[in-house]
Amino acid sequence: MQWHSLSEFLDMGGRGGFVWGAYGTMAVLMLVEPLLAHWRHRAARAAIAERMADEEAARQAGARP
Amino acid sequence: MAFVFARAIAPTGALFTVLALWTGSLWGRPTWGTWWVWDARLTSELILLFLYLGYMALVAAIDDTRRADKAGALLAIVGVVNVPIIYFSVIWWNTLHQGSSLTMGAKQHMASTMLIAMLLLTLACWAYAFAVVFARARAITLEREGDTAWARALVAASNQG
Repeated sequence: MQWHSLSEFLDMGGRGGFVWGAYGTMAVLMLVEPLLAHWRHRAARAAIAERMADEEAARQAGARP
Repeated sequence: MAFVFARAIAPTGALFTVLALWTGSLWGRPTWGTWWVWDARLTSELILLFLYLGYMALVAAIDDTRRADKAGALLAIVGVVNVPIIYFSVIWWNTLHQGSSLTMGAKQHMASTMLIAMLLLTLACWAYAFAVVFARARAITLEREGDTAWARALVAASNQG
């Protein structure tokens, strides 16, 4: 198959919606999934840091006369 | 660690199953003239998606991590039965879905440009899956090991740095 213009390329012989729909869905989902994994890791680290800060505050409050 | 990886792999498996069904449907419409048929390959693939979703729902629904892991493992073992059914579905039954495009040891009929593109994308999908599964496993490990000294040391060090 050969294309002579950009619009012809995008049209994909009348099947552009199917072809680009498949590429688009794949691109979106494969961008979102690593982002979700990254945010989950960041949230896990933040939860540990918060717990450590709470424990440190409680320790200091207990040490105070 | 096996439980951590089972949980980390499930969403990626579900994602690829959704992609296979959805992009297959987009291909099926102009090629077969229909978005969906209750064909053996398509139906067994849909069951695989339900198994992934069921696994994720099950482990999320049980608060006790150990019990959730064991229940999820049991479901995963039952679900494995579906894998050979998916693979052999186009051989065992006369389906609308075409047979294997590639067969080990047999002469290939696919055009070399398509074969190279397919193998390259297969490799890319595997690389992506490994990367995202390891990233998720790292997050799950931290969630589980939040009270251990090493996890706290890691967080403290990264907060200082």
